[in-house]
Amino acid sequence: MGSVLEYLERAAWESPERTALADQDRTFTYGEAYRLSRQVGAFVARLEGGCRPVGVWARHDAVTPLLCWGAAWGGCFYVPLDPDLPPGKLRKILDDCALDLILTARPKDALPPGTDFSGRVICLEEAVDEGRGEDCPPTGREDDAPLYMVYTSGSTGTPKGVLKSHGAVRHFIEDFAAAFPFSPAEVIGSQTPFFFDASAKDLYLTLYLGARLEVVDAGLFYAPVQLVEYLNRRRVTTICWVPSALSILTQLNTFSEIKPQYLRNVFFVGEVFPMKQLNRWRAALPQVRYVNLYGSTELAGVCCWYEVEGDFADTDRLPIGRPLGRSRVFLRAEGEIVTRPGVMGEICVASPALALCYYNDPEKTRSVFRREVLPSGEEARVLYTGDLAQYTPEGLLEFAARKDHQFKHMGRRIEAGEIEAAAAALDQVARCCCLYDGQRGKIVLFCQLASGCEATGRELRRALRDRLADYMVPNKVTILPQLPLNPNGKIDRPALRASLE
Amino acid sequence: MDEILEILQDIDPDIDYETADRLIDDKMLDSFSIVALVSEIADAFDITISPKYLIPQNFNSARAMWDMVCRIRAEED
Repeated sequence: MGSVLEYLERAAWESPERTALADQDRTFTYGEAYRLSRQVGAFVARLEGGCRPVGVWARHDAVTPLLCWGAAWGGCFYVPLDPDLPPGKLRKILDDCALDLILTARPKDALPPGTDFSGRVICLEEAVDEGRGEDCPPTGREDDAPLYMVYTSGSTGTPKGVLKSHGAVRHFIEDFAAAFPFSPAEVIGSQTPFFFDASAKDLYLTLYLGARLEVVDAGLFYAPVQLVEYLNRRRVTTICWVPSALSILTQLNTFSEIKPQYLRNVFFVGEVFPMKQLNRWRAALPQVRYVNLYGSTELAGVCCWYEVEGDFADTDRLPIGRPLGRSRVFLRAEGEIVTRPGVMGEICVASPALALCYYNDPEKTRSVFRREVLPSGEEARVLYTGDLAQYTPEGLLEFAARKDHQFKHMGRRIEAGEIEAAAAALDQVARCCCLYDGQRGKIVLFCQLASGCEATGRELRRALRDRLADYMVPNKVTILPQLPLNPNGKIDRPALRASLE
Repeated sequence: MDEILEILQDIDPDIDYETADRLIDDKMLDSFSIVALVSEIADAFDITISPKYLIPQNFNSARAMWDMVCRIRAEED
């Protein structure tokens, strides 16, 4: 299949004047996007001289995609970095993949003080200057050439890098584009930050279609009327957002004031869309196509989809539906394949879109990606997602829960263990347990203090702010004289969970 | 005004709301907190906050939120 950059090459050849990328302040045509990202690529290739990770300081603007593609033209793979990460966490990522180059959108972008990074930080303009007049290496023909790596929450407190290939992204995008009636006239409104895996759908669907990516400023989500005005002014036709972002609009009654005029496709992914909010969207915008997507960080894009049809009560559950394109999805419980409706099993996926590996972690890679014989009799690599699902009587898949202690908060997959590890590392904390209160959408941390220590929940919370990404900081820290233990001496999570009710 | 401070304390107890006046501009409150904030203010003061009031200027400080509540009350009377 070759490089995903062939999409950009084709669009720049066929329609160099079309707008590829836009945000509030800037636009780039396909011709410009091609030229600029190639120049960045020439610079990257000279500096790195091989397939290496390249950091991208992932602001939510129209420049960031150029940096990502630049790294790819340079024969490298990009690692998008959340600009708001605390230095300690950023440090762990930089160490894990041994970055020596970080590309930024703006000249003044700098790493937070205390990050201690000895490599180069260089902005678009400088990289373009340095790459001028030089050529990029030829793009790889191998499907499994790495394209990008995103970091996700890890249970030990160390983020895990998941590496994805050009081939995986192409397989997914081409299946996705074939499943829906998209056109090059699509304007895709990007909400998902570029350091978040789900944004790859926006980026590469745009390139594949030769469409326009409209990067929506995060600040607009504070001003919902202005957000919809912006979507209308820029004629956004397609969005793929996390349900929490979509819910902001309906929870704030935005559609009583203004409605999106050009929107045709609403995809949602990353967490369960509260049915009540989805119903409000459907009531306000009945002509729009609504599609529930299911995927996992360990594969490119998504592997299941369900187009919302018919009526659902606010208390109903929305199916994740059927496998997308070439993905084969099945459920396994205790080694057996589950086919009977109502029986829970772990979602397993065989697909050309699976990620390559966990970076530098062959053991974890082997335990999650297993080579085995499929129900069809052929041998394939199978992803064990750790998600539990069941079939409805109609044969549709329905997501149930995570197998372990992971949860989804604001569309992010979080390991309770990562928050616990950060809290346990505080001197004042003897034991702790992190739970997710799904009803209220809050992360709750229970702590037992070390003997002789005094601290308030508020103080612990403040200390955790320096150690965790914003979205992981517990919303509530409750101090208990003693954490309840089960007969095996382990923290009694069910008892703590019951105390949330 | 005290009621607003109480609601804010509940959303994020680490911020000094008496002095903070760039809650949105400095990203001290995220857009998801705004949803909770709006519904709690509406409940507490028994008002309807029309979407047109949902702009950063009205949420940058406890004082700005209180002023907004007063304007909405005056409008509803």
